[in-house]
Parts: sequence; structure tokens; C-alpha cells
Amino acid sequence: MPDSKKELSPSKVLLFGTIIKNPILVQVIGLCPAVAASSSLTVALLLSFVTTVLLIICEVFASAVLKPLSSWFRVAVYMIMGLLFICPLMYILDEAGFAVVNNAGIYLPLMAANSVVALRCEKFAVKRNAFLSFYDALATGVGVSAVLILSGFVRELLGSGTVAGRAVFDFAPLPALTMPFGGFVVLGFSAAILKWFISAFLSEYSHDMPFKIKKAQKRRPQRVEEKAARPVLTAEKAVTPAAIKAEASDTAKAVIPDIPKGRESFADVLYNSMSADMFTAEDSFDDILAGISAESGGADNPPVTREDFSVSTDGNGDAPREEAERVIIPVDLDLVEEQEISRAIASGDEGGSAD
Amino acid sequence: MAVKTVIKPDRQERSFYFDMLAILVLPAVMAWYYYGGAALRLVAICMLTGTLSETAGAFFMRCPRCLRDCNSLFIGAATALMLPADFPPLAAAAGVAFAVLAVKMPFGGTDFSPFTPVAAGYSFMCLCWPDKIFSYPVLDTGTGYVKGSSLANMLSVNTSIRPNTINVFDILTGSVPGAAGVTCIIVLLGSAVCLAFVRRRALINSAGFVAACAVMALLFPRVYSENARLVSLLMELCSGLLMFSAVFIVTDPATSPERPLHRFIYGAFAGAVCMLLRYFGKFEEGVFFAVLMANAAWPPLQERLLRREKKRALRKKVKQRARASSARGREAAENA
Amino acid sequence: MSGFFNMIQAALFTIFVQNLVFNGGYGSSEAIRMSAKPKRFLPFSIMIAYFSTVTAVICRALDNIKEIGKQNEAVHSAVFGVVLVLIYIATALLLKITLAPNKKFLSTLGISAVNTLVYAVPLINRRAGYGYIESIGTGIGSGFAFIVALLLINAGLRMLESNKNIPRPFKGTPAMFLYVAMLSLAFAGFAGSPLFA
Repeated sequence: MPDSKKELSPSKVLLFGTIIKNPILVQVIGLCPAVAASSSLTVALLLSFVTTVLLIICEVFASAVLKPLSSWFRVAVYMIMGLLFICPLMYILDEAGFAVVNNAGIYLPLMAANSVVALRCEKFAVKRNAFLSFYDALATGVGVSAVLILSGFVRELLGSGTVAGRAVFDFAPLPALTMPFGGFVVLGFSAAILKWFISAFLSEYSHDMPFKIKKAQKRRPQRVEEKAARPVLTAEKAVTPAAIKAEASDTAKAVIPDIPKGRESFADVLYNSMSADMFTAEDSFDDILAGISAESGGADNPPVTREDFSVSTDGNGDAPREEAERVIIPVDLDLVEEQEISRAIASGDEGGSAD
Repeated sequence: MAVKTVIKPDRQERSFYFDMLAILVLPAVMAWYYYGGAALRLVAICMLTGTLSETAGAFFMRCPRCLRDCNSLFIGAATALMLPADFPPLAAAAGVAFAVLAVKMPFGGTDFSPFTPVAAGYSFMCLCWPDKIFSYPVLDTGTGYVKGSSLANMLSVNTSIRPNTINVFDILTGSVPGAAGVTCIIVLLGSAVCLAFVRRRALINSAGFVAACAVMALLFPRVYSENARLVSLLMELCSGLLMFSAVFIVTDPATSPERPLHRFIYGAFAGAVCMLLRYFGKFEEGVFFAVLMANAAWPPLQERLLRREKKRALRKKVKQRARASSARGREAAENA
Repeated sequence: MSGFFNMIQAALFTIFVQNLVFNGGYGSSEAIRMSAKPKRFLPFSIMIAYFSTVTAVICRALDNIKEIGKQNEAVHSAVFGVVLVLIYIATALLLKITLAPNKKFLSTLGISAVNTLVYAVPLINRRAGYGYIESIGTGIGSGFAFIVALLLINAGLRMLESNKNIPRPFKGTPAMFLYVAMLSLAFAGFAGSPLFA
């Protein structure tokens, strides 16, 4: 979405919602109907209608009424609203004898729990007025619908040889495309085409699209300070196993941060590891990808590359050692081992035993 | 100080796929011997499709074309030889095009695809046309092709197979219904020998793969007879695309690890999953799904393996150093 | 013993044969987005397993009530959805009282509860005619299926991130979609296994 509230205008909201920040192809939300359910055009049309209307209802309602409520409670309200819209619709269509309800299977009620609704409401609607929320819902709905309909059309045509149930080919050219696997393939190529389109025709917005790779982050600053405070095994000291053990236990005490009593439980671990706000997550999936380096340990924990798996083929025995050098060193590695690594790297003789 | 020379193996060495393509001539000759021009026509169509797909992909995806490494030709030839001789050429071309355009090119080409393109292409065809891909012609009927039951099919339907059901000599020479270029076990063993001459390291993958399959075939036979385990071993290893995959697919350098032990584990993992798919999978042959699973599961698995190795090596080193310095300390104390 | 076996069988079915993420597409957006955050794999998967299992068991119990059992799909969907929401609210309130978590934690809890994967479990169980034991197996299996998906996608994302040779139009999301497509293709080998027929 546009960066600041001042820049927002209905036309910009529409442009961003449908193309620049397409919910499925760029933000990677609401994939379930696109991947699994939209294997035929009629089902895709039904799901598109349901998604758009649900988005409009939920976003406008969230913007107008739900702002005072807590975020965690609003999520439940969105699902209830989805159920209140979808289940009666399903009942009516079923009673009227529309086969499309059966074709959609359980994916139609699942739209009530679709992440695109909750995310758009939390990221946009509760922070803006009802007017802009309506436009955002419309734009997001159009963006989702465009992908669903395209996916449904392509997969039905190539997977079943029909369009909206009418035979186009006498045979099914590529039946596997009706499976979720086919959905991912179609989305992959659609996303590539969209990316090319933006860079070719909307180049002023193409800065939002590149595959950003965040610089690898260093370890937490306090950790560095703590490291500085660690007693270092000096050359003068006799390095006996007992000395190493004693020193390691001392430093381990120094490294472990103060933990309030009664909060060491598993629930605490759960609490700490999950205390990140999904709803303020990055707009595009590329931004999420950019966070992988940092999340997986930054410079101390580089991503696995093909080079990590390879060694020189020239028969030089040093290559595997170099490879071992790049192995991810977990943060919880014993202190003594960490010191050994740094010392060995400094003296340049580490490789010998790594392989 | 000597100046280090940077060697770029992919540029200066002969392509791995060129060697593989040359070795594929052996099964191709057997395919021609058993199924005549139809098999070779399929091979030609698939190779042409591979080349055209690579050229078109390079143009539309704006990525460098690398026809010189023969990978596209290899994908085409290997795919064609794993298909029944009467397989529809258009369907085969679609499988090859999928392998090149959806599995190889979008990830940056031959050396950068995280999945084996041949395996993905064949799996794609399995899902698209399962009835055609596992429907094999009987040899030499004189009046065209008649459908026959392959060894893998016999095993999958739990038919009571006895040693006299099929002649062992027929199995080894490939005189049984099956895919065009994969039935002749003797030729495949010959291919493995050729591979041993040119790319010895690649055979470690094959060894792990075949060993895992053999162990599982011995432990869990699908054959009911007096020497069930031995018959099971023979039938499982000689049926389907197992041996062909062991020589030509599991050895793919782009997706396999480099260390010998890791290569063996990688091959064994693929073999174990392959047998599990044979036992519990939907299709009579699951080797390509197994290769895809090994491709996907290997990076996290290898990461853990390397981490463990590193930890173990460091612990060993710390102990050694501690021992050495305590000895020095004792010496100093004695001197003092 | 046979009950335990049935539970394991249902769990294995959910993890491999009908891997909910790859073969069903359920919760795929949550799996892909979450796979970039390895530190949250385990807690998120545990939450998913918890919500799936509890919802599946309660929904199975409700199915035994004649008035609900004889209703059509729409009513069932509504009832199951309301059950899921109530379980989520009850869990959140319980955590608020006992652990006093912050808003962010509760928001993430919401994502792990209100998603297509968790909501699909009771609906799939009903269609498959599963009993209590199998429902528990499916619930636990959904958590395992999710973590398997997270691990595999995460490894792929890290590979793709470090791959500088990907053609420009495919960099980022398109390559990721194709990678997940290949994972889905690999899992399709187990789909339709006669063992679980």
C-alpha cells in the first residue's frame, strides 16, 4: 500500500490493491482458494464474488465499528461475519440446486477463514476511514478475483479441456493442472508476468518489487557486549579440561540474561518466540524473503547455498575444510567451542580436523 | 608467493551431461533393437523439444542460453527412454517442455535448479497420463503393439510371483514389457561401468540408492514363494525405472551433494522413499517422486549433518588441545 | 491398541498422503509467510495442532447430536466455524488471565487459529466419517504436516535467496511459487495411496 496516509487517494488505492500489491501474487495471502479451489471457471467466479463482497463488508464494518476493540478479538469477529455471509448464501444456493456449491466443496465455507480478509482489515481498515476502506476492499477484491478467474480459466482449459463446463478440446491437454500443484505453477508464471508488466509499464512503482536482500544482521548488541565481558582463556593459563569447564560455567552464567522468576516455562518460550505482529508484517512477500537472513542468524548463520554443498573437484583436500568453515554455527554452541573457533580462525589452522 | 589459478570447472571441463548423453546411446540402441524406429523417433522428438524449449525460455525469461552443456538434450533423451515406445509424442514433448521451462529455466539454468528436471518432468507426466505412462507394449508381436504387464505392475498388484513366472534371462536382457530404454539390465550395468570410468564420484549416489532399495526389498518382500526374499530382490531391482534412475537420474550433479558420505546418504534416502512409494504410493513406480522428495529434503538434512560434524570435530580438537596443554603444564611444573 | 493404530494412520494420512498444505492447499499462505521466520516454526505448529485437535474433537461430539447431524453442509460449516471461534476466544482469554501476553502475541494466536487449515480439519473429518480417535490423529497430523511444510519451504527460500542466477522476472515470489509447486508435485506421489483407501 502507499507509504503515507497523505498520498492515499481512491485511484492510488485501486492501483496498488489490484496490481502493485496484488494480494495473491505479491503479498502471498489468501492462496488456498487460488491454489486448490479455482480449478474451474465457475467455482473461481463464485469464490471471487464471495471474497469481494466479504472484503467490502468486513473492511467497512471494521473501519466504522470495530476500531475500539482489541486486535485479537477483531479476528474472531471477522470470521463470524464471514460465516454469517457465506453459510446462508451456501444454504440458498444449495436449496436452489446450483451445482457450483458442490463443485466448490469445503472451499466455499473456508472463505470465512481466509487470511486476506483478516489481514486487509487489520492492516488497512482499522487505521483508515470507511471511505478509503471501501476502496481498498474493492481493489483487493478485484485483485484477488482477477487472479482467481485467470487461474480458473487456464486450469480448466488446460486441465479439463473445457471453459465453464463447455468443451473446447476433445481431450484434457494437461490434467495435472487441476491439482493444487497446477495452481502453484499457474500462480508462479502469473506472478512472473505481473512482475514483468510492472517493470515495463509501471516502472515508477517497480522499486517496490525488486528482490531485496537485507544485509545480514549482526548478533544482538547486548550479546556483543556480553561477549566482550567474557573471560578469555589466555595463553598463560594452563588449559586443562577442568579449567575449561570451570571457565565455561562462569561465562555461561555471565551470558545468560536475567530471567524473571517464574517465566522460564515452556509457555514463556512460546510467548517470546511468537510475540511478533503478523498484522504489521511486510506488504510484499519479497520483504519477507529479505528477512530470512536476519531470522536465520545473519552473518553468523548464512543461508544454505549450493556452494555450501560443494567442494572442489580438483582433488585438493582443503576444499572440504573450507566448506566446513561455512557451516552454520548455532548460537547455543558451547562457549569453549566458540572460543576455539575464533582462535583457530585467527591462527589459520582450523581446517585440519574439520573434515 | 604462488598466484592461485581460479579453475572454473563448468567452463573448462567437459560437461557432465555430455558424458551422460554419450552413455545414453547404449540404452537407446537397445530401445531401437526391441521397439524399432518408434522408440528412436520419440527420443528425437524429445531432444528437439528440449532444445527448442531452452531457446524459447532463454528468449522470454531473459536468461542466458546454455545449450552447450547438453542438459536439454539429456533431459529429452532420458525422458524419452523412460517412456513406453508407443507413448503419444505430443505428451512426451509436453513433459520435456515442462521440465525445461518450469523446473530448469526459472531457477537459473542447469546448475541452479533445486530439483532434477527429468524427475519433475516424468512426475508431471505421471499425474497427467497415469494410464498411458504405465501401459507398456509387448515386444515383437508382428502386428503392432499389444499391452503387457510389466514387472513393477505385477509387484504392485501383489500377484503371486514365483521364480518360474518369468525367466531370469529375459529379465536381464530386457525381454519383458517395460519402458523403451530401461528394461535391459545388462545394458544398464554396462552404462554404470562406463560412468565409473568418466564420473566415478557420481556412482556413489547410485550405490546408496541401490543399497537402500535392496535392503528394503529383502526386508519387506512383495513376492510369495519359497525364496521370497531373493526373488523379491531381483524383481524389485530389475523392475520399473529403478536401475535406469540409479545410473542416470540420482547422479544429477546439480542436485546431489559433493562429499562421498553425503552422496551415499542422499542416494539411500531417495532409495528408501522410492521403495516406500512403491509399497504405499498410488503408482507402480515412484522413483521420480522419491528423487523430488530427496531434492527437497536434502538441504535441511545436510545442514544438520554438517552442523553435527562441525561440532564433533571441534569437541575433538578442544579435547586434544586441553590434553596437550595439561601435559605442557605438568612438564613446566616438574621443571620448576 | 487398534485405536492407537487408527490415530497414527489418520495422522500419517494427513502428513503424507493428503498433506494439507501441499496436496490440499489449506493454510498455504500461512505456511509460506511463516516459513521465512524459522524461530516461530514450533510454537506456531503447536498452536495449529492444538486448535485443530480441540476443534475436531468438539465438532465430532456435536455431530453425534441428532439435530445437528442431520443438517446439511451449510449448517455444519456454520456450527464448526462458531466452535473454532469460541475455542479461540476461550484460549485467548485463558492465556490473558494466566500469562498476560501482549497484543502481538494474541494477534499471532489469532492467525494460528483462524485459518483455512484449522477450519478444514473438522470439515474433512466429517466428510471422511472419522471417529474421535481419527479426529485426534488428524488434528495432531495437521500440526506435523504444517511443520514439515515449513521446514521444506524454508530450506527452499534460503536456497532461492542465495541464488543470484534466477532470471529477473522470476526473482522472489514467482520462483517461490514454482518451488512450492515442485514440493506439491513430490507429495502427489503419495496421494491416493491404496493403503488408506
